[in-house]
Amino acid sequence: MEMIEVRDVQFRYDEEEGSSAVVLDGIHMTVRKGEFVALLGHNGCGKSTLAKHFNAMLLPLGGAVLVKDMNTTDERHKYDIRSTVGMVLQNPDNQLVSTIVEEDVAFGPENLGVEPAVIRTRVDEALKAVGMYDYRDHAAHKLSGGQKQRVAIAGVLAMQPECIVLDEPTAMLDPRGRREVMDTVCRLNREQGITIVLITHYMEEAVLADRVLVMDDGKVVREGTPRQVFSQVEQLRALELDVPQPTELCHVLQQEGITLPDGVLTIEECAEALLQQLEGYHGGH
Amino acid sequence: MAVIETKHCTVRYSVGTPFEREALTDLSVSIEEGDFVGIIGHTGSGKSTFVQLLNGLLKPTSGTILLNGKDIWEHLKEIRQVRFQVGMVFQYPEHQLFEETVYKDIAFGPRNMGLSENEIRDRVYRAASMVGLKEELLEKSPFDLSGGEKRRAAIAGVMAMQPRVLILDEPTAGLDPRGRNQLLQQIRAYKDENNCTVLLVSHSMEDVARVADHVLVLNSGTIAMQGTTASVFSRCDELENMGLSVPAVTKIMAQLRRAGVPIPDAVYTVEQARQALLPLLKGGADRAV
Repeated sequence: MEMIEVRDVQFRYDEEEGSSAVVLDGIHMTVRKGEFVALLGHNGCGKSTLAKHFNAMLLPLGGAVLVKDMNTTDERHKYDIRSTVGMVLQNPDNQLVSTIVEEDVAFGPENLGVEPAVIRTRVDEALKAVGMYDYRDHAAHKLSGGQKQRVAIAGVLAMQPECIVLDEPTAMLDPRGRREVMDTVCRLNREQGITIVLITHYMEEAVLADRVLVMDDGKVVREGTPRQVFSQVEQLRALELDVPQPTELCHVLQQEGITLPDGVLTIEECAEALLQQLEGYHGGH
Repeated sequence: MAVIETKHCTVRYSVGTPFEREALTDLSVSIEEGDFVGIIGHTGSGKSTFVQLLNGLLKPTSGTILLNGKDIWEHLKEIRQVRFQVGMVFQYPEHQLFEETVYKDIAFGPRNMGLSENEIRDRVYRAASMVGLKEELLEKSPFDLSGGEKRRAAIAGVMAMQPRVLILDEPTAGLDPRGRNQLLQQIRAYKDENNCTVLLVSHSMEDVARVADHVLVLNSGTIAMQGTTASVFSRCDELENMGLSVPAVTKIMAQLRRAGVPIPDAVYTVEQARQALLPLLKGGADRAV
């Protein structure tokens, strides 16, 4: 049983003037349990629309979305689907509902009718998991962007989802905030086995995923490990995307006839590959 | 010549309450006419407070702000003129679109300046083409545009006022890589064509590295560093300690330098790295032969 299975999904937003374009055009994809998947694509390619299908915020016009074999169009499953797949969005300020951090995290489980004593433990555990326990009695609106976003993740965690979908969670954050959020996401995936779907425009974040899906024009057009996907520099450019800087540097040097491995992703890999080529300098001078 | 200067500016919020907090401390900084300055600093470092001082949206608790050598708060009635000369594009400016058509939205600023209909028309078209908005979009409702187009329309609205100083707060947040690159190039072209001054607030070190001539680093309400883009990004460890970062290529170059490879300091874009590495790599191949 897959965590999320998307079968030939069609979708368009109904607009009054009838100019409604097809947003999702026959999407096929799966997210396996425990996997960390990154979803890439330029603005308007349908990523966020697809993400909203994962917890029945939107329903497909054609095809089907199954969450642990539950069809999202089946009204009886809506509650189970929403407690299986949690969502974190781009702007942390739009997601915080209470003035105090721990109250905000308790909001979800309270709405699910969880016992007060259980809520207490869940809130504490969720805040510890994102490293915000020490801030539990702080005012939510006074936190930094990265802290707010981690509180938003804790709010989702407190509902004990098996899968978390994050739609550009770091777009508004500074480098430290971005690192805090990405560290948290990776830890939840590795240590707690929570399935992660991450939508991002930052290629260096996508590198952290097990698998990368690239969307264009309502379709999934590339799929593979980060190394497989990012080694196709020209193809990604054609899809209006970038590659991580280390990959790009190796690519432009390869074009000059320098022999370097394909699919270099990280700063360390790149430095190492270059040092091998520069052996004359290695430890020399 | 300095176009904008702050002299010993201190800003305190919620003065006289238990929440009193100092956002900027004795800040003195001078921005040269025609410069392209990147402003970086972690969340809460005072970036937004700083730029809001520059066009008179905030009044400093103490200190003065000089625009072309004149204290902007000297004559209270003239503060409106200051805002025409120092244009501000806020974060997510597309949330501020409100007119019936894109044309009217871009024309709003110039109209408030009391310009003639012909001049307004001219400026709207020029600003729209500057940010790459197609003419046929001008008669559409701004709410029918895509996210990227809305962002461009909002920026065009400020550019149409032709401010001498253009301040942009995170103009590329949420844009895809191509949209990001295009917009940065357009801002750079706007600056070069109008010979004005641009301040770009950004969390993306790569963006700043690509377009800025100088970089200003704010940390807990004071200027932590100021200098050419190359000199600031050569101080990698200090930036990291402030919760900032340097572009990935700069880190790669630092690792090579530590291994003894003679790499110059000023490498912060992929193109510069290519130029620095090629002679070394090609030279190495010759030696091997």
